[in-house]
Amino acid sequence: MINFSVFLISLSALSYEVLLIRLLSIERWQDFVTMIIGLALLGYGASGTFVHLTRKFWEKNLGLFTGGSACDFALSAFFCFIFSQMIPFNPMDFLWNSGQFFYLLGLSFLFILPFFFAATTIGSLLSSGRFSLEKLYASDLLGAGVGGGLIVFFLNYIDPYICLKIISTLALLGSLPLFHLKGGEFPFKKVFNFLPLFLMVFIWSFPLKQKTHSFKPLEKIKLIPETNVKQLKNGPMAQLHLLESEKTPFRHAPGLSLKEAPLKFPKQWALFKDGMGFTVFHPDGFPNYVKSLTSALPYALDSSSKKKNHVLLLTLDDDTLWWQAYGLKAKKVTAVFEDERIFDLFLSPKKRGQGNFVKEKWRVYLNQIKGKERFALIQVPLSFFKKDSGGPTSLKEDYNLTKESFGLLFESLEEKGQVVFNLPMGLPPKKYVRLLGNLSSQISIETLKKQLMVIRNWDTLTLLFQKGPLEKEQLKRLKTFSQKKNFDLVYYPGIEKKEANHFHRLKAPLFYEVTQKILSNQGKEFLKGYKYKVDLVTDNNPFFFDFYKSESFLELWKLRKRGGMGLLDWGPLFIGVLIIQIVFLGGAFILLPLILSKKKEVAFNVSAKKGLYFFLIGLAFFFVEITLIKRFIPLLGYPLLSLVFVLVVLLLGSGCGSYFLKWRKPKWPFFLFFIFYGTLVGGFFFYKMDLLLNFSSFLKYLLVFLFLFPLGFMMGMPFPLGLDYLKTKDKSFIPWAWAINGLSSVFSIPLVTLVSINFSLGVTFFLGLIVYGVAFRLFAKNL
Amino acid sequence: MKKEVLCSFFFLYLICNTTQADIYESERQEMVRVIKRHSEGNKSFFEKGKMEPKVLEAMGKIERHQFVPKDLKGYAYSDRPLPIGYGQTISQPYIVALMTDLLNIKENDKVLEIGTGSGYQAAVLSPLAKDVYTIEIIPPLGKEAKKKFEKVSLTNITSKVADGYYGWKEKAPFDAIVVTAAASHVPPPLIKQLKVGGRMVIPVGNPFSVQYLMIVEKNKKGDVKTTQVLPVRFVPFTGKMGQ
Repeated sequence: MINFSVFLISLSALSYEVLLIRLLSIERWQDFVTMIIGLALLGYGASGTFVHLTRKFWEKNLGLFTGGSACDFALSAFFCFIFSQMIPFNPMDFLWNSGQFFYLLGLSFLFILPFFFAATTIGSLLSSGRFSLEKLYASDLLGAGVGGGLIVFFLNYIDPYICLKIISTLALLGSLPLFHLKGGEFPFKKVFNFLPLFLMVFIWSFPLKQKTHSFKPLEKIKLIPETNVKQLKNGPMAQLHLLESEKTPFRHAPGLSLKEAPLKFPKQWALFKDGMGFTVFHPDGFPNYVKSLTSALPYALDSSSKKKNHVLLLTLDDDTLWWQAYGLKAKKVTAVFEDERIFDLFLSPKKRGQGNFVKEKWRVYLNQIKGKERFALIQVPLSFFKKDSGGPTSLKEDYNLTKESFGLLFESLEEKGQVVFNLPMGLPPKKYVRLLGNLSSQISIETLKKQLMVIRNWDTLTLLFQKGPLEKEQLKRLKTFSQKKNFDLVYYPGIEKKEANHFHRLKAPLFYEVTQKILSNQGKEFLKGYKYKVDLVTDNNPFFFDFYKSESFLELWKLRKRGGMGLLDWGPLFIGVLIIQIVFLGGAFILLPLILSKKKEVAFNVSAKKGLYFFLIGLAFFFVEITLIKRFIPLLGYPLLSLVFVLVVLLLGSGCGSYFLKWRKPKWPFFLFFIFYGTLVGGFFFYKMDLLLNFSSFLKYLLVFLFLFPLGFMMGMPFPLGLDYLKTKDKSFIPWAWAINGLSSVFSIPLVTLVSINFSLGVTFFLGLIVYGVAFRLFAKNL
Repeated sequence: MKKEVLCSFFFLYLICNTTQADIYESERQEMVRVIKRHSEGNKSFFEKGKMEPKVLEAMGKIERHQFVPKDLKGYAYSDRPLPIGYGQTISQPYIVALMTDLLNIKENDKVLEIGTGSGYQAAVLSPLAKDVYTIEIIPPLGKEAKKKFEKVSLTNITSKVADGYYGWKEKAPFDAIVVTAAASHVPPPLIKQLKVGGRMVIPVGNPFSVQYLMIVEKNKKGDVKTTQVLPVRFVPFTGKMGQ
């Protein structure tokens, strides 16, 4: 029963971690979610210290202590979230107001508590020496693995706020057997049999409401009179809101001609994902204004009699490009949807017309049809480039805009086919420079010069690349189209400086100039010297939106109060703040109490080598795990699926590995084999993953499982091996081991980000293996 | 005795109030100095090489603390944006000054503002123009701003709660228009209501970090051109490449 308790508590703790990502993404900004949760994991470390300091008490009252901790976990998981809703943290104000740092600290501190209580329960059971370490640790890991899968399943069907109550309930169920543990008597023991049940009733009767931050675009739009939520859909990927406004049209049309903006806008429904910037659907049929968007350029290049054979629209979460293709000149349109719920919304208006609809990740789809189907036009939507650069979101991986993605797009074009990128203009140019710079490293400059055209209005750029030289007639039509719509020419073969920067003027024809420089012989030098990071983006280094360059940071920092805040890329700065917080909180909750402890004889008996071993294996575990999660996104399709699947497989593997130690302890060749196998897995997945992309989903999942389970199996051994050693040689060090391991796990989250953006995911993974190697050497020689 | 006590309280009240007013006054003047310093480091931005003195004068005159929520009055004269509720902000004073400067307002001008928000931008325009019209779509914000205009006796400001997309047809044409509400395009009715030779200014970005400012101008033929300017001088190229 104790193993089952540990299983349930661990299941709840991991489900809670995944659920928090969802809940905080809904209510706040995704940028900060990873950080808040990363810090919250300090709770695991702090519990080690606590377990050590309170040993005398809990050894006598193990039942009360562990049962109570489990109940505290259930309660804090629920109520800390409610309290967090009261903290007015505003990330946009982060660089203006140092007070936001303390709000962030407050949020992190609140979420430390649930993890602290969960880990205290498990940690005290592990340290008690009464139960089989291997079985307990295996139950812990298996519970976490099952929890990760279960929460994603639940989120598909159940409101996330109800899921929170379910998690608390499962933790309370886990506490029930613990109160029956032998270990001293305590007053009113029978009452404690009913305490979890009473708490369950309390939690279920407590009102819990969604409180989205007032600065999120959804909340702002909802304030407009007669604007209503037409549909609300929850799910593990995002919460979707479909809004309609009877009185005030949304009038959302980026890239619209200034000259041809309609006085009366057609009806639009606004779609919000997690309350962030919206996209639109047009329920009343063809909106005429779509002809006047910069994205209509490829249709304007054809003669009136010509129709495009087959148009591919990537990842639709908006129907503007659909109407453009359908209403203008396409014989056949294929629209790819990543989110089935958006596909349903897309189909809900009746006047949608015919098309080929694909519910799949676009790279997977293109790999599946490779060689069988080619397209006359591929439209890359504006939403691919909409991620805000600047803050921590810019450090998130994105596989839509990598060298491999572009390669796939070009391969899928028919002769004279076109690929069109629509992107926000932005000043100074960053996204555009990186896009063009990346294209120039894949396609020869001479080819680009002949096959490229770029236009813009005041907020949107449209870049068109044709497979085959552009014809004179096309150039003529480009000029007519741009003149008629008042779009500025940025580039076409043979453009002169005087033709640029007419309708939407910049102080200098900046976009024309950067294009000329990139397409010159000195292009590489220009990109290298650019004040933002605009180097090549690959699947192994998928950080298109990371523009931070340390050489320019000080210059930009000085400008921030003089109106230059929008120029600043402060993601890495934020990581620095995160590391400071970890040092501060880690010191306050983990190391300081141990140092100040009256049990000095134990507290100061810290062996650096033993400590280092537990620190390194914690660091290495996360280096390997996080990079694998990030790397599997293009293979498995979605970040959350990748997170959960990799986590579940590694944890299940680790659980089994830990359990295996009950029968057999590995000898030194095991460590060598571990590193060898890790190298094999890393080499294949980080450098040859493309071989798997067009396999069926089942086969992909199976292969990932088959490769990762053994890796997880081996990764699950170093920690219990260390604990087992301590159990016989130095029992007093066990809480330290737990604390140091917890602390290193928290450190590894920002470190992985820093190493990945500066080197690559592959390098970070192999660094993790090297750290494992160092730890194994320490274990073999010194422990 | 009773009278004496009452008098003491009255004087105490006066002293406190005067002191608070003095503090605000000195903070406001400091804020103006900061804006001036920022603008001097940013000369190339201004058409006349510097920020118009009358804009700085207006910034020194308008009591920003009247337009910020009570709990944030202590930060009223910090050169930073502040939240005012309903997911809105009162803009950074330096950006307000820049936008006001870009509008080139003359004393007999009629100005329209779309997105009243806190009312501060309209208040700053008030001493510079003959009439200021301002439209807010969120009813509570519009009503609160109206009360503030009355409280600080800015009698040349007229406000209403409506959809700003259509402008204010009855009061058109306008010499200048400032659009502080987010828009994916420039509303045609506003272009129509802008006088020939008039200017419209639109900040692009989020309220805590303006990316660039867009100026819309209407020439004699009625043609419209836009100019996008960074609020600071920054060249993204380096070395030879930057030339």
